[in-house]
Amino acid sequence: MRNSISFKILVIIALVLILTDVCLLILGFHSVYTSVHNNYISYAKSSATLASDILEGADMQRLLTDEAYAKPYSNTLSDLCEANDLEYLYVYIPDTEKNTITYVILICNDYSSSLATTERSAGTTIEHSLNPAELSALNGDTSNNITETNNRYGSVITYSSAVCDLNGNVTALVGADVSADKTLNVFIERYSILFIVILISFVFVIIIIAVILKTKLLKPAEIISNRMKCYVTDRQSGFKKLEVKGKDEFANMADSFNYMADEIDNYIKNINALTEEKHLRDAEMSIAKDIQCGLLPDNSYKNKNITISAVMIPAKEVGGDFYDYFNLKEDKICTVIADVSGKGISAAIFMSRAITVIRQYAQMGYSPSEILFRTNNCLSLNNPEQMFITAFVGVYDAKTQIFTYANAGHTIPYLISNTIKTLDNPDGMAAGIFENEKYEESSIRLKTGDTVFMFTDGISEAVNKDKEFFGTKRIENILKNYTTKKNNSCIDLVLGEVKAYATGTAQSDDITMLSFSPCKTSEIILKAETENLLDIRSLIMDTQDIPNYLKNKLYLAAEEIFVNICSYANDNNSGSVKFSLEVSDKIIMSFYDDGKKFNPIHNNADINSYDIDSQIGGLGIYLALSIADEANYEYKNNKNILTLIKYFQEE
Amino acid sequence: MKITKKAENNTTILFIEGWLDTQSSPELHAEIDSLEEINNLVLDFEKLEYISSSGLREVVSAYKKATNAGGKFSIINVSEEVMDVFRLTNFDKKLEISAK
Repeated sequence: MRNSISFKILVIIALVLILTDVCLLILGFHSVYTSVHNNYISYAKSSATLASDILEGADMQRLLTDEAYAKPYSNTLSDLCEANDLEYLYVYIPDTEKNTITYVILICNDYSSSLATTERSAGTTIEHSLNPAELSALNGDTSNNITETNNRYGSVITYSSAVCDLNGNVTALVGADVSADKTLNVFIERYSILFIVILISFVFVIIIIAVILKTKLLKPAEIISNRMKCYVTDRQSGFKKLEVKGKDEFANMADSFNYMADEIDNYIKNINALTEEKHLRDAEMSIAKDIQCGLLPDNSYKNKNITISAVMIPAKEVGGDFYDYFNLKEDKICTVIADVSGKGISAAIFMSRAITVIRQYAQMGYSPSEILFRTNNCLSLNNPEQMFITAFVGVYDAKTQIFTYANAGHTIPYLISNTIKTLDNPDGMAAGIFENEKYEESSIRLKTGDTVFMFTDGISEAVNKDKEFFGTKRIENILKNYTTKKNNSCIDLVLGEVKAYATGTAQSDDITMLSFSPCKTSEIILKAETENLLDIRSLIMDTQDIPNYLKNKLYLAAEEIFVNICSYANDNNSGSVKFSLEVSDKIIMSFYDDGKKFNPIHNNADINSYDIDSQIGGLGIYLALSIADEANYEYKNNKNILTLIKYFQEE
Repeated sequence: MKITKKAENNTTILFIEGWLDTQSSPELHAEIDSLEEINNLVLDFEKLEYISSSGLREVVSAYKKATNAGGKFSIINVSEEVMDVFRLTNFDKKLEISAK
């Protein structure tokens, strides 16, 4: 209540009213006082004047002595005194020489109680100097004849008037007294009435204003406010429009609120529709993404001739980049990386067309340049949107270890061997624009362990917060690191760096990479007997791609594991062991045996607690695991599978 | 593997050539077993190309035989590659081993 605007308005109005009323009371005080005062003075004046007229020509001495003569005068004056509510009405003869006055007639409004009737009865002479009013009356003046006195006869206001004889000589003076106390009482009475009237009207006005405020201001405001609250809290039950009555501000407000509520309702409806649409679109995009990802082969592949890793991270749900690889006849494998102009759905559709066309021509046995030539013609034939792709297509022949490739305007891949370099550049126009474009073809002999790293500009043009490109220099540095520390896939390394570089920015372009390394895998199956170590030894020693400095070490590890399998895993020595040796950019030795379950990694000895004087055994597994850079064990299909990995690392 | 024995004063020197692995270590075992009245024992690994854990075990038994008999045991002329194996197994700290 205290905070309500009606209350505040009411308080302000009350204050103004009080101020006004106080002014009224002050003004009223003066006017009531003056009016009562003047009224009584006029009584005194008219009485005195009338008495003078009555007594005009009367014999003063005879009035003093002849009671019968005085009686009618006395009665008349008495009536006059009563009629005009006078306190005293008296006639006296002034003696200006002796400074005395002699009372001729004295009328009191109350004889019994009046002190004056005894002390100043007719004929009494007292000393009295005439006051200015009496002197003025004596001189025939009528304007300034009022005196106020306060003595033991009471507080009175006196009007003096002169009595003349028939010749116009002053014979006596008349004094008409009105009671000042009575004047005051009458004033107080009248002023009280005024005060009460003002007070009542004040209360009345306040009540009326309060009622008006309540009905015209508070109530409409409350209704609007409640409806506004309900609009938010009780949406389910729907919005009832506010009634618009009249044309005042509340009507305007209600109208505006109705309008706003309508607009919000429409807006929400639109948003709901949009959200639904977006959900639908998201679901469709998700399906599109699945389909597109389904077009690409797995992100890692391995056979006895090659290991491949790849990644494709679209900037939007679907992208225009792709990688591809597939086996061709006669130990050949085709690798492709490409980038369609644009992003999103249009790029994805064009991409699905391009990947199919390239795969189709590659599987028909065409060379890389021919694949690009035909792909270009096919794509540029029906291409209303003028889209194009940059593509790098290569075929690796495992028999000859020759990689033949052609390029349609794509970023040149790196060859990671002992050093990092880009492949010799056979340049060519991006595919899909001009028909009959010719593409050069180049080839290179790859060593086992070399890696070809193919990527799209989503890597080199990844931007950081300061809008700086990742750049090829960074890629080269990462790959240089990789040549000396090959314990991770180069794709993971680059991806990790790019992601760290672009932290805090939205991915601007699809990120796609493909790397492959030629490898050689040899397998032998042996009986678990130590005599067969010779076969393992010759396999390792005769593999050309293993550097000499590693051969004895690898054999040491292989011997220890094999001997261990013979002694522990195969108690009866009748089982068989499959030994596989894979050389790529690292060497992987795997042992498969069907003996009893035995995990050598768990049983590895702690060399620091090995005591040369007492303990024999445990050294072999320790040696093998120390030589390997990584060792993995699993028990699968009743077989112990132990894999030792050794990276090429110059010591 | 080829083993050549040479005795001078109180010291027996065994020259071991080639590969000391699972197959060949029994030969060394037999050779050490056949030694009688030894005092100091020296294994000369100048021409040893390869040693495996079975070879290490023969080294340990040779060491025990010599020290039990009150003699000294040492390995000399160890190639870098074989030394790697000694280092891995901490043998280089326990035994008197000198490089080539």
